[in-house]
Amino acid sequence: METTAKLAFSFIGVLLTFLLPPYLDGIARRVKARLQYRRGPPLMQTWYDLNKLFSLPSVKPTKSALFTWAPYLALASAVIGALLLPYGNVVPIDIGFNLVVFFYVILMVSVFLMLAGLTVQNAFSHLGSAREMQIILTVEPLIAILYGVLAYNAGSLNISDIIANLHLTPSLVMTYVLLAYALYVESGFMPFDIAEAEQEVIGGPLSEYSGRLLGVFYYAIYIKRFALLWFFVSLLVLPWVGPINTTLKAAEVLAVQFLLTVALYPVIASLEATNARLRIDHVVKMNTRAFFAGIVILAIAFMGW
Amino acid sequence: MILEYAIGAFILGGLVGLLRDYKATVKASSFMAFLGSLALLWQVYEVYTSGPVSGDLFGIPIRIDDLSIVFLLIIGLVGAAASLYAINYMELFEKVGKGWVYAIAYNTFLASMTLIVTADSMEYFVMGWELMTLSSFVLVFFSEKARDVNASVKYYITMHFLDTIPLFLALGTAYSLIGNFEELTFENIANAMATAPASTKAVFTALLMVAFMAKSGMVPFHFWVAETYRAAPTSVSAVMAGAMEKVAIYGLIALIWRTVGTSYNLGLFVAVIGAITLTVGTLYALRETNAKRLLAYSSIGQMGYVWFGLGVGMALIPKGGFLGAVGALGAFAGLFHALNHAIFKASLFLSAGAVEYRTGTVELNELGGLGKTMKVTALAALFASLAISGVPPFNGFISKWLIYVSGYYSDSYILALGAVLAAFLSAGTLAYSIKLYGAQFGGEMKRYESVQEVPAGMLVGQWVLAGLTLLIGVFPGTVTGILNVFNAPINENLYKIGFQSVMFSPVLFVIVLGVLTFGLYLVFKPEFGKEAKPWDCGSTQIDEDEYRINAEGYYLKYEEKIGSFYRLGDWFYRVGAGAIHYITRAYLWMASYFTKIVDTPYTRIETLDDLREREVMHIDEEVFKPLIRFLNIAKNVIPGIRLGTFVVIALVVVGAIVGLLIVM
Repeated sequence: METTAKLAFSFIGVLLTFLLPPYLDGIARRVKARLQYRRGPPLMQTWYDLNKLFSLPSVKPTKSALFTWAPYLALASAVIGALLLPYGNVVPIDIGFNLVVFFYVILMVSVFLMLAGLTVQNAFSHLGSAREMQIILTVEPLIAILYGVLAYNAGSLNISDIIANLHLTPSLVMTYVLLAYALYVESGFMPFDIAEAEQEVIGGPLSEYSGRLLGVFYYAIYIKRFALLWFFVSLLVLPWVGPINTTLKAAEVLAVQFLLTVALYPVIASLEATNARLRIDHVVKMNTRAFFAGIVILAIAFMGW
Repeated sequence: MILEYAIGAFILGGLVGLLRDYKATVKASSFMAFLGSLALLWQVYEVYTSGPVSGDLFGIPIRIDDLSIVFLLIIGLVGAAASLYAINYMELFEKVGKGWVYAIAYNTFLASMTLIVTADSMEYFVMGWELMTLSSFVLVFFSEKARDVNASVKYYITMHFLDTIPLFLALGTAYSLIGNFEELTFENIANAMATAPASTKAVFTALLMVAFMAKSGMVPFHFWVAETYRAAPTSVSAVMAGAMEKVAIYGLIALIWRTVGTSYNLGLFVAVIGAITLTVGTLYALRETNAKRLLAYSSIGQMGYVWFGLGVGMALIPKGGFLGAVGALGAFAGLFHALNHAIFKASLFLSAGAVEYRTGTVELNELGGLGKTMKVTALAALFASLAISGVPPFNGFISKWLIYVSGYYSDSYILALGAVLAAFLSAGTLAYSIKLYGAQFGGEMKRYESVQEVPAGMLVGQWVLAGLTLLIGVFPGTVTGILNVFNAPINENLYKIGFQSVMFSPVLFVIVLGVLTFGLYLVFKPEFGKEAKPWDCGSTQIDEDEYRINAEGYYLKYEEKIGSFYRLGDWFYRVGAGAIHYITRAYLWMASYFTKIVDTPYTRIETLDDLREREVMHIDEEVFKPLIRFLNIAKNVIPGIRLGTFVVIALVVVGAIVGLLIVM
């Protein structure tokens, strides 16, 4: 592909990263409302909410500089995470196209969220930060082992090599299923939104945030969820469409990625609407079981299935 | 050789002990240690630019090659930062006095580590090792508090049984092959080993393996680490965790890998030990609430990463081809992690020491809110915490990532599972570093409102290391040249580092992250309305200092869920610690024969302090007294022999036999 096409795809990637996530949340809200026989807000509602937050000044509970900078660092990490992924076949930021980097950059959103929660003297934010960390502690091993299966299946940790070399085996199918679960947990959707649980810990690490800084944090979280979903969709689509040589094919692939992302959000929303929040020890237990299932899958993969 | 200047500085630093004044002594000797460490770094540069050096230092054969400089770099960096820091920090122990003890022990400690990694003779290697153990033991009980003395005695006795005895036996094995103490160079041993029978090789390897595992705190020999690092002055803990543990890695490579050679199974053994250790160390660090003990367990865990990487190398390099390249990558990543761990762990220890210097405690449950008053220390601790958790763009990320890559590519289920564990426990590392940082510097507490920042010297010591975590993370090329002892086929230039198609460009990452963060900051510039206290549900009675989660409560639910792991680990710990306890008792029982003790059988001698209260006997008394007392006890005991006595006598006999073996 020539440079202009690449630039165009990168630009689309950037646009999607910055503009799409709040709309996706809008879709989710609409779907949830319909499931509860409500009309629901317009699709733009999440954008309206963010805009309102951006226009309000923040209340300052501490002098710590980290408190002020954490939302921006989290947002920047989320954006980098999203831009590390392929749009069509173009990766907007090529700083090393590998799984481990993606894994860590997405983790950095949570790191800054937790650090932010710990800068203030508030038991609720500390509790939220600790909960966030406990979820990470249980979900990261799962993701690590699934990456292990992917790396073994494709013989590489480079995302483009993985996409080019994945071959369909029973273990890969199981990996997809568990990966969907792991990414769902990592995104902090409804039964797993224990860290921010408004009704229990008044927003967890976010409880002292307000106004513009809160808006930036919400924006970062939406983008992180988008990035994880886009990653999953890319893994689902790209290996099976064959080599992408022409601009037209790349555009088609991008369209499929986009449509699938939009299509999966209602599924997520209905899962959210039909589940009640779990307790942290339930999540720990579930994820530990999933981890052992992952070990079995890795063994199956090494047996060549 | 520049090494002479370094050793000279250390000797001078020891001689400074002759000054009478405590403060002058510790300051001057720490400063000399700092100069000596700088000389070590100079030596590293010299060897790196103009090739290996061989020579003779005060009659000791020296050879500084590509492997030695990796470890000289570690000792030099950690030594320089910790010594600079100690100039002020050691004032804490003014009440104890005895500056001369510190001056001699600390400088000997650094000099002995230098000797170990440069001496080209197994005889001097073992001698340096003993000197290192002895001097670190003296430093551990420097505070002279009962609990610390106890910890140091256990440390010394553990080292005696797990290090000294195996090392001397290994030395004997090498001697039996060569027949001359003067010619025990590593090269000669390697040549002799090439033709030696397999059983000799196996014995030699096994003995050395035990010694090195014990020194770097590998499971199941990790029980001494936590209490020892807690007891030692923090600047010394930093050197112990940063440099002393790494010396064992040098031994593993120089004495086992390079002389006896390696095989797939040996490598697998090292990797599995590493994987187990990184799991145990990290999960134990997670539940610890004493900063220094937490860091000690964390060092156990991080050393597990190093062993795992080296194990991948030892297993795969003999296979050659692509797997050989993966193995070389693993070994390179292991060494890289050794350097990185030295930097950020020492930095974390120094930060914990800075907190101790100002608040008098390292108990995380009591600390909090120091981020407000100790800003510079807090930022250094944040850098080191992010580095140890492997957050890009800090140095820990690159070495951990390369370790995962080597594990995932190894084509072996066990090694891949090890890499999975490594990645998982990276999250564990993040968890305890967040706890360590949050509990010390997070929040705002009235109790510590008047605390001040530590003196400049201590800040510089911390920041030399904290700055390096970022510098090496962004420009790994600064050290990869020195570290690539195994000729791993890594692709790297100024912008990126990677293996085959897996690349990472830290420079670009930092630029993108920086531009995005500042850009977003400018777009959504923070605007503050009023200032308000954190919301506490409108309570009026609440103690604001306690309106938080203390360190103990952070991951309680998680710890409960994996409780069976801790129970298993505790059981192992009790076995090891129990063995050491009884050995200690046996030593004390023997030692009690050289003091004036009330002549009744079963006088309880439980700790070293019980003995120290008593007068030491004169030499003529010593000759006859034991016999008389032994007969006395025999007379009392024979009517009703008890099991305990039997055990003790059996231990003495075993000890005597082992002693005889050593002498022979």
